[in-house]
Amino acid sequence: MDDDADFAAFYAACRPRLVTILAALTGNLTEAEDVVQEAFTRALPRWGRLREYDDAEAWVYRVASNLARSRWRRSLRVVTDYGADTHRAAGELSPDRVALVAALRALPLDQREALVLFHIADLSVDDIARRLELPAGTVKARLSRGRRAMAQLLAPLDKVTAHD
Amino acid sequence: MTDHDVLDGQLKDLAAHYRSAMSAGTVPQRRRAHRHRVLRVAAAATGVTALVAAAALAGVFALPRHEAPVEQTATAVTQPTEPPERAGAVTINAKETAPVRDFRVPRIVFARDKALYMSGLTCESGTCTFALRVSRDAGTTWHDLTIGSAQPGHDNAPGEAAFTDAEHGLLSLHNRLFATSNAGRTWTSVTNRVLTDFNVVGTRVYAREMGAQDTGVAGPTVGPSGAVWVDGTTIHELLPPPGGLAGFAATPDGVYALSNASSANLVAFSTTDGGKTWTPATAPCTTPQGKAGRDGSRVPVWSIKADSNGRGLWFSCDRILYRSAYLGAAWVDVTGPLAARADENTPDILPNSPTVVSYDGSTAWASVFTMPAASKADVDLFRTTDGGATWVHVDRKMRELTALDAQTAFALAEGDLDMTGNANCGTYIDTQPASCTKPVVLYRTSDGGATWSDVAIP
Repeated sequence: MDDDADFAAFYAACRPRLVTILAALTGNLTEAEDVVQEAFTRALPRWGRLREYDDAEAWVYRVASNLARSRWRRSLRVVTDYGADTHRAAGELSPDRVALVAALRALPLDQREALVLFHIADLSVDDIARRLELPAGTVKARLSRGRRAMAQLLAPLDKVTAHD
Repeated sequence: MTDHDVLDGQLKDLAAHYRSAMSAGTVPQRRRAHRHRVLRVAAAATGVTALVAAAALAGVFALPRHEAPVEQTATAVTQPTEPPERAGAVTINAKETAPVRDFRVPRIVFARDKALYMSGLTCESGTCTFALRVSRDAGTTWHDLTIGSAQPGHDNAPGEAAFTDAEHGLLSLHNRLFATSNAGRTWTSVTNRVLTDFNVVGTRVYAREMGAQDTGVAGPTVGPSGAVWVDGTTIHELLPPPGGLAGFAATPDGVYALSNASSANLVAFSTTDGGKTWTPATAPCTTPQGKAGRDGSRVPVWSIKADSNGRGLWFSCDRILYRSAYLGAAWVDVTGPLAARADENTPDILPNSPTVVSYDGSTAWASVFTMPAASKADVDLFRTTDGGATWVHVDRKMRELTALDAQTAFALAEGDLDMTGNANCGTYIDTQPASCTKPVVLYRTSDGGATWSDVAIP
């Protein structure tokens, strides 16, 4: 029973953060909730050992982001962005946020992930490097390329057309 | 403010929006209710108290099969479940039309003789409807059967269909199971249980049952077993192995299953009587928690698949592919050249094990995801005609392959597998970027994969 209470506390503490990160990564709140839930469900039977890890949240994040990736590859069964849930998520996005989400989705995944982990998850460059098993220099390069790309993508229309 | 600060503010604003818009979430639960049901059944079957049954269940691995109290009486649970909504059954009459131009997320659901059925969504003016695309002449002429609006929630699957022959099929849509006996023209609801992962064996369709613990979406309660088999319109419970059902594959000989009994080891069982008795079986992998992730943790990587037209099983785990000719007996490593492909520069864990689609015990196709660069995904297709002893590389980006016979196969190929920016091409329904210039295409080979041609759908 202790285990369960402990797991529930872990879930309550980490889920909002993970859903937010995955939503920013996938551009889709419903899918984010879905993969995060699946990741927690997979964590539950392993909780006895996971709780001993330094960073169980990193495990759940890794599973959730892998699920998000493998989903679009398996893709046929995983159709997102439609139905009632989507209207809830998308209907409330302001035009600025829609543009931001579109710009994020236009980025290569590695840059998107670096930006999201840095600005939304508030991880340091070193933390991101550890989590992704990359040299810190690579993370910095992805961040700076990602920021440059975002600036272009979010620039006023006349500037963007010049790049197209 | 610098660009950096502006972006930081925008992203934090987006995060705040997601945080306020997200649903409350439900803590995943261990399946206690389910376990109690099993215990009650076990107790009833063995004539002992639930307490004794629980103790016996817990120690079942040490017991030889004939002593194991997991033998459950047929009267208790294996009787067909009475469809709870038989009285108010829902009937859907499909609308037959010429193929609609915009057909999304296609999936091949049946291929035999000259019949070829795909499921997907027909979309017109932004409204998408679940549909079957049907050919009865091996792909020469086609028509669409429009069935019903795409279903929200539950893995966001638009619906799932399976056919046991050209006339008889099942459809999971809108949290109901429907059956047809006239090639998809009319569908009548059978039950309101949510079934997925259809596995056709002869006239039976095995399926896993989905509930809130799968989807995170509040939904119908999962039945007592977690899996069923459907024969015609009759639903039978596939009684779970000790510890609960983690995954399974069904063959004409029986069912091979992995159990949740241990998180430290893969525990396998097989049954030849619909789960009334489970016999311990071998799992080929010794690293059940899978590949080490970047953060040092381990993530499960296994999948079991049955021959679609034979008796054998394929088990892929940790990027190794195993084959068993009979219900998990004598696993043989048949990875061969697939391993090298699976290992190139792959930062991800889950999708790298080969996926096998077999025609029979000898002829099989395996697709392997590779990531030649960090942000680029690829699919390599292999074919064997000797049960996996040797593999020939068929260099096409094929997926969803379905074999019609040993030489003839249909496959869908993604126009664009590039993750950079176009991850949604051919995948997502209402977010296909304008840059998706190459839609998903149906290909056909009639020479074992040596040559492929487009199947043009008018």
